[in-house]
Amino acid sequence: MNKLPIYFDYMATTPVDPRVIKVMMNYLGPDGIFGNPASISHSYGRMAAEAVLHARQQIADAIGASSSDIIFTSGATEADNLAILGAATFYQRKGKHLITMSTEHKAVLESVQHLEKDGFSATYLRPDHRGLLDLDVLQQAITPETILISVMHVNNEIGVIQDIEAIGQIARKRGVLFHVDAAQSAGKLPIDLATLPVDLMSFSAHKNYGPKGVGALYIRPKPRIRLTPRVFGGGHEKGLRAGTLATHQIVGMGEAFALSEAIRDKEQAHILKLRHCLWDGISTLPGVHLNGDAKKRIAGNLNVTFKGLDGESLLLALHRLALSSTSACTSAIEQPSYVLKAIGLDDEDAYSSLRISLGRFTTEEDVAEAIILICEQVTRLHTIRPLGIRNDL
Amino acid sequence: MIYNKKIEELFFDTQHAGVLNCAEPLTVCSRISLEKNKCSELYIACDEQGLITQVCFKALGNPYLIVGFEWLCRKIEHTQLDAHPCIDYSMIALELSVPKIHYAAAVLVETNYRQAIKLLKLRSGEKS
Repeated sequence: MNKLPIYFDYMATTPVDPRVIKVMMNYLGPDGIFGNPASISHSYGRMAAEAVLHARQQIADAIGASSSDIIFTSGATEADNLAILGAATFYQRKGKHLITMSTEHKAVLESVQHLEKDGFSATYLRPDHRGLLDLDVLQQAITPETILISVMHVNNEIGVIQDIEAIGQIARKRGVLFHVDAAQSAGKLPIDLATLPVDLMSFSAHKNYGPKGVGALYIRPKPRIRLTPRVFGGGHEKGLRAGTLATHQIVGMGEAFALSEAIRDKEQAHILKLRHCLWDGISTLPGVHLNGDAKKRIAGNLNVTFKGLDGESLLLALHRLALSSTSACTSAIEQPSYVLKAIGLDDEDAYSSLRISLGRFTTEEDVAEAIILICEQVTRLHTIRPLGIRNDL
Repeated sequence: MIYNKKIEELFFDTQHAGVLNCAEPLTVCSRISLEKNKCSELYIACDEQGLITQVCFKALGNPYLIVGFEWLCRKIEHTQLDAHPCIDYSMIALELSVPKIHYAAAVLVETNYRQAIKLLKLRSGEKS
């Protein structure tokens, strides 16, 4: 049991690309550029400030924005909080109604829930069985009081891709701000904020082969979007997010975004091929079902129900693969995945589902070994399972 | 969830997963279904001298349930029927270091075991 499992949890986090690490190392030690980017009275600070500016430009180039549109945060969670809480509190005189989806990341859902405690109202739109938002349903949900819509680009559990172009057009026509959590899409899907009708967009570095602990929020400059800051103490990032900038992490995020954008098409095509291979290898097992739209999904994601098998037993049986069950079974109260429940799975099927996510460093050998292991162990668990129950596989 | 070495060893070496033919004179099956699709079957066969010759199980549930049954089968096979029941859930939990929140699995194993032993003793008594 000492050998590490094969990593298939890229949607939880990604390893920092070695090319990114190499650049980051220049911004740490006494021989590197370690200054505080705000200390521009001396060379140490100025060099750090230049590095931050360069990284900001790298990220802006990757998403079709200007560097001045980017605010650095500690991650996509903080960016989501700043976008939603910041926009809602600033524009609350225009209205106090928000719209989001029931399948959003907790960073969005809990931010909206927090606003509800402060007197805002919210509509949580359910997706269809494929995990996608029905645009007619969105249209009907918008009221004269609606000030913000928040929909994630790619769902972190089932990998489905929302049509943010179309959603943004609806929001724009109705005069409503539109926020997108792009934590799972940056570096994987084309993002061009010069043309996309998106007002606020959150980014994560560690989902895109950058370091953990850093993210960014894009804020549309025209028409200018205003936010109420959440973190105070120094006026950094145009007064929107105080705190000394972590130069090495920001540099890492910049490099990661630039690298991913440069190789995106080729990389995603390769990952998609591996995913198809993996799916072809396991799809004929009894009771196997893919959750979420099969086509409108990110290349590296599979969310699979193994109907009739216990989720904890599945995870242990597949312990040589680093996978994720998005249902929480570690506490006294079991909680099936709210995303899977939202697309129509019952509790049992939700518990029997696993997320398998591939990435940059997944090899053909990894996929081949995963297929063998999954087939072997799922078959074994089926032989242990009593006959005559859940025959509706 | 992190499992101890014993759990992992038994989980990956389920020698007793299977069924027996209950049409045989001294073979019984105890079947229990619970909510949330936890279900188990325990098969026990003995000979005319009361020696338990074969024990098999089928189980749907978490690893503690599967391992609990595998451990039980190994424990009672080739023992005398008269010596049973002698195993309870606390012995199973102690032996396998089952966390308290998963004691229900050990209880299910014990319940199935006691039911099966009772059935087999009845069957054995009828035959004699």
